Amino acid sequence: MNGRDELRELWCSQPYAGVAKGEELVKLVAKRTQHFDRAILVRNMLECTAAVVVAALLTQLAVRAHGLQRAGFIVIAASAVWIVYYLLRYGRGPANADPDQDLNAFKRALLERYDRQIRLLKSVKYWYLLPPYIGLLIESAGKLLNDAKVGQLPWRDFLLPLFYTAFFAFGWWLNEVHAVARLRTERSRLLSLADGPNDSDA
Amino acid sequence: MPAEAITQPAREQVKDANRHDTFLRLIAQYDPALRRLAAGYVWHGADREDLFQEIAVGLWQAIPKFRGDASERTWLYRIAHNIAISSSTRLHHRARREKTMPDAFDRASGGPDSEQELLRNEKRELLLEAIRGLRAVDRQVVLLHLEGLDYSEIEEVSGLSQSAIATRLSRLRYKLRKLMQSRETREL
Repeated sequence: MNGRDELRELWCSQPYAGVAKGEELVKLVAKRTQHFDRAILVRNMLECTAAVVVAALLTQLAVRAHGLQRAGFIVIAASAVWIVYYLLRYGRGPANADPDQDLNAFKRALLERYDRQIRLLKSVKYWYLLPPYIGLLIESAGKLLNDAKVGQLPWRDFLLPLFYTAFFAFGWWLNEVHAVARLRTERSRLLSLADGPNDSDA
Repeated sequence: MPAEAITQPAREQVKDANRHDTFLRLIAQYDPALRRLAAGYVWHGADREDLFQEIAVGLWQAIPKFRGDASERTWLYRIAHNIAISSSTRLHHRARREKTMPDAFDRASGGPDSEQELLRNEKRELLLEAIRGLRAVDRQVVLLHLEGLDYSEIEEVSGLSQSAIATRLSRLRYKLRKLMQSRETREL
């Protein structure tokens, strides 16, 4: 037996536990596909509903408020609608790269997907965090001015903007630092798997 | 048009039935090969099963798009390898360090009952380990070759020219043998 045949024979002699029953696998595959589709649908519906609810509530508050506070509420309400519009318009790419292509083309498609997700996360501060944050700051400034007019300056007026800032800073860190780092790790793992001199990743 | 309205659901049903039958046929035909392929990409038994299922999902989704431009076999291997590559980057957390004990996947045939069988199992493990240490493109070429695809079929799957495949394979066969030998010696 020559070396090549021995390798092939060794390879093909791998034992494995039970062949999957076709019908069971069909059910499993259908379940996984449906679960994924349903998860996407539920997420989109939740985001839209949350945006509508937030926009409606804040619009109501804006009607009752005056001056800067009203402007703040309007900015937050508009932000909620804007975020969902942005997510639906730009945030959703193809879920997966089409695997029916050669290795190089597939690798390029995967890398593009990673780059797109990283770009989206890195821009989160502009389209996701900043609009409502600015709205909240305007609203807080309006409240502070209103309270100052009537001679009251409760500590809440100073503390709330600090809380908002910490909250949005955490959101920024979660997206732009933590999530981007995770994606970059996966991206470089893909690169090393595909291009590395002697990768042994998986 | 009323006629179309009536035939549309029927057409969908036929399409679904075709997809279902094609899927069952492919799985029945390629189940062992797809499981071997999974073993060439991930160490852990549970990961292999996950990967096998991901490949099955990928095939299920790809069947309606299959136009017959390539042979069914090369089309299937192309999808399976690509899914294996993208999934193995995510399945990395259950890393190769966890592989230590051979799992049910490896022992299912009843286990080694002779010294020869034991030796064979060890050699197979060494081969798997050596294959998993290759770059993705090399791994793909070797796995396809070990599955019995000829150069033109490997060309269809990988996009490499036949001469590049021939050169690569001769280098890789040598490299695999060397790797196996060196690991065998190290283990002794």
